[in-house]
Amino acid sequence: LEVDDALLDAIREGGVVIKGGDDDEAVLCTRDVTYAVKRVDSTNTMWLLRPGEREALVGGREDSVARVAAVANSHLELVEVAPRLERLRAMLLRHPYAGPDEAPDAAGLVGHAAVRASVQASDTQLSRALRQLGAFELDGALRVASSAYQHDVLNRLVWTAFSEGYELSAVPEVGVCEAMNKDEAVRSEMVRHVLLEFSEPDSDVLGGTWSLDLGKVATAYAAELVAEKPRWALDQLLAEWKERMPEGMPVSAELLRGLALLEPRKEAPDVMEAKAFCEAALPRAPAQRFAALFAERARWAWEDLGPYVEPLDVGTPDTKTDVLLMRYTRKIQPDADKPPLYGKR
Amino acid sequence: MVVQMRCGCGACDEWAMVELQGEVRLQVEDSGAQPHELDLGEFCADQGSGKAAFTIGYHRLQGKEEKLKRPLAILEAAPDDGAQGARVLQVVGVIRRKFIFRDRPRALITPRDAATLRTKKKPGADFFAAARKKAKADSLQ
Repeated sequence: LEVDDALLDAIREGGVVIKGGDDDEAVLCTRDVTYAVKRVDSTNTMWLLRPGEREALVGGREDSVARVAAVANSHLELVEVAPRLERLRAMLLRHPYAGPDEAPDAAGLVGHAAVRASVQASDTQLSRALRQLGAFELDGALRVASSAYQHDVLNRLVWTAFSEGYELSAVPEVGVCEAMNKDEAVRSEMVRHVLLEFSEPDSDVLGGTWSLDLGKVATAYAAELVAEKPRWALDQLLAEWKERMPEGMPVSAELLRGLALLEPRKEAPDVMEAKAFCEAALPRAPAQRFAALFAERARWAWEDLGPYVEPLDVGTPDTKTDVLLMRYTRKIQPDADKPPLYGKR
Repeated sequence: MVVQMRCGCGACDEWAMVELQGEVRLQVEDSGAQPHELDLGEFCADQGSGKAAFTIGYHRLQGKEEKLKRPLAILEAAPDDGAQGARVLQVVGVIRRKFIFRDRPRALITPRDAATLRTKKKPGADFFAAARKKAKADSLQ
């Protein structure tokens, strides 16, 4: 296997594996990176000799014998590749968690170890993907909540916190768990998952108290509205949105980035419209995503385009945002004083 | 399926490699000799210049020692780890340099003798001794 000293160190430290299913191309994963394993054939013949044989080869005495231990005519090469995450999505989205009333189906559920063994990604890449999917552990299995149930729990959590008089910047986990368990059993793992998902990063510093990310919570409510009706007059959307949340929650067009596009109504240009355009519903592969984006709009300002391009970054060099922009777009500058627009390359 | 990669005993030890263009074939069809008893040829290398010469059968190859652009780790399948038959691949050595023979081999015998060799099933031992003697006579300059 062609290596470099960094890889040899990684192998020595442990944590380097080769994995794949019977029909997969093998990958080698270190803690952080995934490589495809390729075999390179050669018309040459390579003889391998053990360490001790070198003296016999070089400046050896007349009668010394060097023994060939093995013969090879190919070697393995590593090529860094993007992690193969489709299988993870398939595994976890097969049985989205929809609440304690779900039909027991142990057959399709997988635990972390099984996921790690089957998904061709490094541990770092896998963790990142699990966070992005919003996966959490329930009864030994990795689950992803159905978006309907998750919003349901979030809604109850927010209103419970409000009615119990909790500050949204200091929501006590035990308190909300108890309150929510009273009326309809919500598993504490689910409550914790929602708190984790919708809180400021590192907000659980005090242990058990969470500071909610109000913008993220509000956006979840907006997502529900946009899913219910794909076209809204902006002010109607804002009004309905405000209604559904307790007082003090943020309501703004800026929070709609990645959910809807704001455009003046064709028939009545002074009315702003919100048109559903959900990042999560777009193709995940960069080429297809950019095709979908440019099918929707020929030219994009970065502030509108960003929320749809940034999630494509999976941590590999070729999915960095600036690399993708260079590859799939061209910059257009119709107005010298206005920021540039992006069009199809 | 997951295969663990580990460093086995002597993982850091440097192995030697000899690389030849093409393949080495047995002149002797079925001498009954086991592969590990076969005499492959005579190898000579000069530590200082890194030049090497290799005589295989009636061919003489000139080459040199080179450092590999990227090292090669030698992998060996280790016996299953016991626990659920976990599979392990061990690094048992590293190759950082090789002797490579790129030049066209030089025949040490005349074409007529070579033709004779091809028709004979088993050439006489003296045949190769004569070739080796000639090889020794040429020095490594």
